[in-house]
Amino acid sequence: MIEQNIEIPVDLPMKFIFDILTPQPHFINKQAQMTTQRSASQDEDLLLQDFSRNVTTKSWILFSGNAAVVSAIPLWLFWRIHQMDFSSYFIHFIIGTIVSTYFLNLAYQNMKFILKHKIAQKREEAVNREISKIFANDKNANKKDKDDRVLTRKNEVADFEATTFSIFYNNSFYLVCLIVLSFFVLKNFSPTVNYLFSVGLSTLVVFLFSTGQK
Amino acid sequence: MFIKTQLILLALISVVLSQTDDEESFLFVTKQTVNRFIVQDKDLTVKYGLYNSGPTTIFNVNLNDVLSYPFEKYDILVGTLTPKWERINAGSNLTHVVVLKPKQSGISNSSRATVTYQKSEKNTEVQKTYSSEIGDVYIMTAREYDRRFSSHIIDWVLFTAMASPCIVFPFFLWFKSKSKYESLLSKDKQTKKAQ
Repeated sequence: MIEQNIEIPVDLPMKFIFDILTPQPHFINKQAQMTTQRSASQDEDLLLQDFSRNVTTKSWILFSGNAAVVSAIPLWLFWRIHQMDFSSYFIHFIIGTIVSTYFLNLAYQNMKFILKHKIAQKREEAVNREISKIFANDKNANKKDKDDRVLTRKNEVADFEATTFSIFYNNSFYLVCLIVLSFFVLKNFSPTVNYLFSVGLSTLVVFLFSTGQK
Repeated sequence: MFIKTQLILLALISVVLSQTDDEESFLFVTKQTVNRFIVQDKDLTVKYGLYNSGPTTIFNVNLNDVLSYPFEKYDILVGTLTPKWERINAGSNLTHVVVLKPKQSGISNSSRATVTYQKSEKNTEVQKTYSSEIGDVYIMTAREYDRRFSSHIIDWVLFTAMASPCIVFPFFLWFKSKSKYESLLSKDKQTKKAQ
């Protein structure tokens, strides 16, 4: 009965779908309670979205675009300062840019996922007050609507702040790592070694740091 | 004992006499590059120093260093690689400078210069001597030189201009939202306190 009430979003990973469909006692009890209070489908949606590492298409495009731009900007330094011609090194440049774009994208996503929960907790009170002010004049509004609104708004704010901060932090970290490696650590190496190692290592460092935080 | 000192004295006198009898001069020639780094298509200054160490003037001094800097590898900008001097006075120095431009990069062997001269005006016998040699020198490409030593201020400024929006813009958005909600909280706390 309970399983029939749950709407499964198409973009959810199989693990979550499996979790919902598998009859687990604690999960069913929780569900049963919730169905009595609110419409289950909306809550499940939000809950699953909250715990999912998957990002929306809009977010993915934003992350990918940002990662591509940040990966491409250092090419200027390698072209102008390390004197690496595009004609001679285009294979290196293409490989380096694709690899760093891919891993930066993952780093953004990981960091956003970690930050979103922390920010949601921090902003809960403020969002509650913001919505309370809006609902203060509206006497007809019931509590459920208000709670839903708070939850949605909190989610939006946490999502926005986590996204922007993740982009800011990873971009800065990547560029600083790259400059330090390329212009100080690997300064006297050949341009090819310098490029491949500085891009590879800084991408790796940024990616590992994004997964390591808890 | 007496015989021993006499023998030493005799030896000293013979040495002194033999030196004064020899009135021929010796020419010492040094060769060095003034540049710390030799760069393709940039000036290379080579300095030759000639020193007449002897008591007499030497004549018809000819220096030849064409073999070290062949025409196909170097352009001569200033000076000549085959200078000639009529005389170099006793105990005097002479410096000759050539400015060249390497056409190719890579390792180049800069060997010794050959100098011929006459020990005296009367003695027509040609004496030959060699300068010190520089050995293998590495001529770096202009690109490599730029890479290592140019300041690239404009390139860095442009890089900063390109990179800063990627950092500043997300930071600004995050900070705006953060300060908005934090001020909302602090305002509420203040109003509560006031009440």
